Amino acid sequence: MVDLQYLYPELVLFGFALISLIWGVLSSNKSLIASLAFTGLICALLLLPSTFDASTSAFSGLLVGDGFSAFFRALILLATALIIMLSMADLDILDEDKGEYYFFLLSLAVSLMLAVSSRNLLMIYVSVEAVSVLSYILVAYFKRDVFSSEAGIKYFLFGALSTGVMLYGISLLYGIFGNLDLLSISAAVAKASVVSPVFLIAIVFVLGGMAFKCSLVPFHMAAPDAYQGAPTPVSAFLSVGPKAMGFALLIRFLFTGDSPLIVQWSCLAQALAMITMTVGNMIALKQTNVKRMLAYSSIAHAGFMLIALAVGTSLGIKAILFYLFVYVFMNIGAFGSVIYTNREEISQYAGLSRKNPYAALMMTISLLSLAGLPPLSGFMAKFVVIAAAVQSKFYALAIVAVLNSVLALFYYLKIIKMMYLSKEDDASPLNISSVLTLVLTLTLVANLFLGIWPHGAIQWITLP
Amino acid sequence: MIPLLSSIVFLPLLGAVMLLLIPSQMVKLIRTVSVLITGSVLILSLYLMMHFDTSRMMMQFTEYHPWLSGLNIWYFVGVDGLSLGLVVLTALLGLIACLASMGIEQRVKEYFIFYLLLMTGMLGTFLALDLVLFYIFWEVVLIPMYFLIGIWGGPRREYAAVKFFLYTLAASVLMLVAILGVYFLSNPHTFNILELAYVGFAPHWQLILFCAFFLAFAVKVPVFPFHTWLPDAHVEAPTPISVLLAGVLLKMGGYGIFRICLPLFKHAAHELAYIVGILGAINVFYGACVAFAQTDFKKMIAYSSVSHMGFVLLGAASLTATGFNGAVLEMFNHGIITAGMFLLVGVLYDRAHTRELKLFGGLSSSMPIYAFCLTFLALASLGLPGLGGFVGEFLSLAAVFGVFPWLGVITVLGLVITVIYFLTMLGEVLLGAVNPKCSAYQEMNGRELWCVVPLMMIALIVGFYPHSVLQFQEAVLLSLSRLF
Repeated sequence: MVDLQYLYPELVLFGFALISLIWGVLSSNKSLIASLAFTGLICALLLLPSTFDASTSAFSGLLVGDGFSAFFRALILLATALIIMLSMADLDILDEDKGEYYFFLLSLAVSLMLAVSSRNLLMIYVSVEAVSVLSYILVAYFKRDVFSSEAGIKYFLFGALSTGVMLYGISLLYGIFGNLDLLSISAAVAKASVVSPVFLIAIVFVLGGMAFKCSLVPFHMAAPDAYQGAPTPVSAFLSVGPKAMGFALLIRFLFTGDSPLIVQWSCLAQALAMITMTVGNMIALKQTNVKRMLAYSSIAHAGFMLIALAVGTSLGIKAILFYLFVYVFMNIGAFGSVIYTNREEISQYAGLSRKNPYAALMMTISLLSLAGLPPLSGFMAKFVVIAAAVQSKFYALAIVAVLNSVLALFYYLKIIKMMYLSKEDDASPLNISSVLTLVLTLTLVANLFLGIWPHGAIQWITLP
Repeated sequence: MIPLLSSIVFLPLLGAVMLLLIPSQMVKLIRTVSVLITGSVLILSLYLMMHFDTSRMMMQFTEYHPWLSGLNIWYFVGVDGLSLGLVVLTALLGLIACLASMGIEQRVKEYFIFYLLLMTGMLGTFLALDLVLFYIFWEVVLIPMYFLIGIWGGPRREYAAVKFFLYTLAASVLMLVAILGVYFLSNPHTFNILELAYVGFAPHWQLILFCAFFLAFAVKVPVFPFHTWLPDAHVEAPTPISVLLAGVLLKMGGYGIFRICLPLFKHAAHELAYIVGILGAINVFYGACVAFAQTDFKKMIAYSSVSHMGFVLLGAASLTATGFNGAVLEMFNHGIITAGMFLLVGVLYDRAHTRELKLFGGLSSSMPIYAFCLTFLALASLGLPGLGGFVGEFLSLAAVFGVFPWLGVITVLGLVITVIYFLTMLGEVLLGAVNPKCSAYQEMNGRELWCVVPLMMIALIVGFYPHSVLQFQEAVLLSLSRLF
């Protein structure tokens, strides 16, 4: 029973997921289901603090209750809450809404929360698989839409391959160490004098599975198609939720124990970081579809976060956490604006600043924040990451990173240019809804607040 | 006691927020609020000037509050002789350009919001004494400037705006890495510019960091070969924005060299002074040559800015008190004179809708007052003794001849070309056969005249009594030169 107490938020959330599934079958009042799902999230969020106890580990070590998992569970709940609000306003989802959408979304949140609070590879694998299956379904949620289905299939093929590879890596690790607990694996690695090739292969395979979730190059191929084809709120969630989970897992895997794996693997992470940023930004330059462009931008951001991981210091880890937190607001702000403006092609944004100054402003602030311009929150996030890199004397990495942010500005600016500078007018109607206005205003406040006065959010990060 | 410097910096921001709340149809109210705000900033900065103690070389009116204590970033602002002149210049041009903006008819509300945000960024850059705070203000300038050029500019405005944005951003992001490098190399770690001046960085680090900062400033100044954004931005920008671009934005680069490059990296400054001097001489000479070749009035003035900013580099490269005084004074004078020139180009453009020098002629008979103003400012700009421009250029040049005589020779050649192209321009526009089209042009109206007259008066006062400006900067620049 004590162990179960740790799972209260997840249990409550799953309970609400089931209720919304059943409710969807019984009743046709669609807006009620969304509100129900939202209530479930709030309940889970309220229950979360009571489960936080730094020393707990539940279910014989399968789950750990440290601050790290508490942070990620809160982050996932927050992101899901924002996504549910986005979904309430998305016209296409309103059409298809059968209740199962919210069931999938909440279950996805539960699996993400389980994944981030585990230190056991088996538990990690099971939750990652659950996350994957649910994301395939959500990407392909528009059953009658060709692009949505195609995106779902692509995402499934890449995803299944990468989780398969990861499972193979895990089985190899089990074969070597006879154990799946990360702490004991780390201790065994520290004692072993010779590193066997099998061990290296196992590590690479496990990292590959995690890298897919973070959409790092070269595991990024499926992401753009998935983001473009999926319902927009789902794209927003995929760019935030599974990505946060991917980084949480990478950190757990590479940093557990007294002699963490990152020491040997930093070089690989550095190389991947540089390649991911550059490839993501380069391809984003060419895009004409906003969702696809944001997909590549999210790949580039993953590369940026990977810098802080490669650095391997405690400042680096804190930088990733802060970056992910800020990223939730920036990215949901941008995707929210896409829903609000009801426009997916960049050319459709022409003259938006005159048609609806509010929408244009929200989009601009989110994009400039993603570009990392001060005084917005994206700047603070990048600042901390680069500080971590410079502190550990990774100067080349820092320089590549800042030059990449110039590259990134170029394509964010394309949309802003369309909205403010273009003389033409696009007549497509907007999708103005009060829930959406609320979400966008929230992200705007967060973007400004976390940039100008991030005091509470940044206090735990200290430069030496 | 109200914090004076913070009021100066954030009053325009407050104004921008106020404008946000005013409906966009109330154009008159929007204009009035903007003028009132920029006017109050000027009054505050004049008050600052009156109460500035010229005998002290320390920072004055400092405000020092913890901001992000974990990251060691402070809200630290202060003013000394180096920044005072530029703050007053910014406030003055801020009001004048605001008055000159009354002709903006399109999207008035957005225009003034961006305008006031720009003011906050510029004033903050000159007053910030914490490197991160400095960087934030430095970058804040870019966004409003991008919109101001991109929305209200000429035919190629989009290209010019993007070029300006990416050019300056690309150069300044390296400064961010350098700022963090400075932080982690200093002991104890700090972002405080004043404390960092006492940290002796290792020589090889000094060279690297100097270059990283210098690159960011060089693009803003602009130093050859990073100047190509300037003509585009100037030609496309609306008149008031050209005024601020030439009058204030270019000075941010020069100011950065004096505030950060020289005091923090003394050894590197010694090593690289010669290169900075060469770049300065190239700026003067090359800028003058290219200006001579222009047929577009505004482009000519833009290149003359490149040429004049060369004196700032030369003065800095001399590493002597005379040179420093000349350079800083030249920044002030150039701000005053070139702002006036751009206003006058704007006056002509409003009437003729062209800036081709060949299409004018004989304006002195139809617009005598205009002819007087243009002649006055052109003479001031080419460095006629008795007017402002002369003093700064003379001091820089005198210092350069003492240190790098050959560069002095090249510079003087550049000055000769400057005289030639300004006189040619005057001849083409004001003298010669009266172009029938030009005879119908209206004389300058009151608003246009009153924007230019204060600038002319200042140029005259500085020319006859340079001490009026030099007194503020002498003490601090003398102490800076003693470091070398």
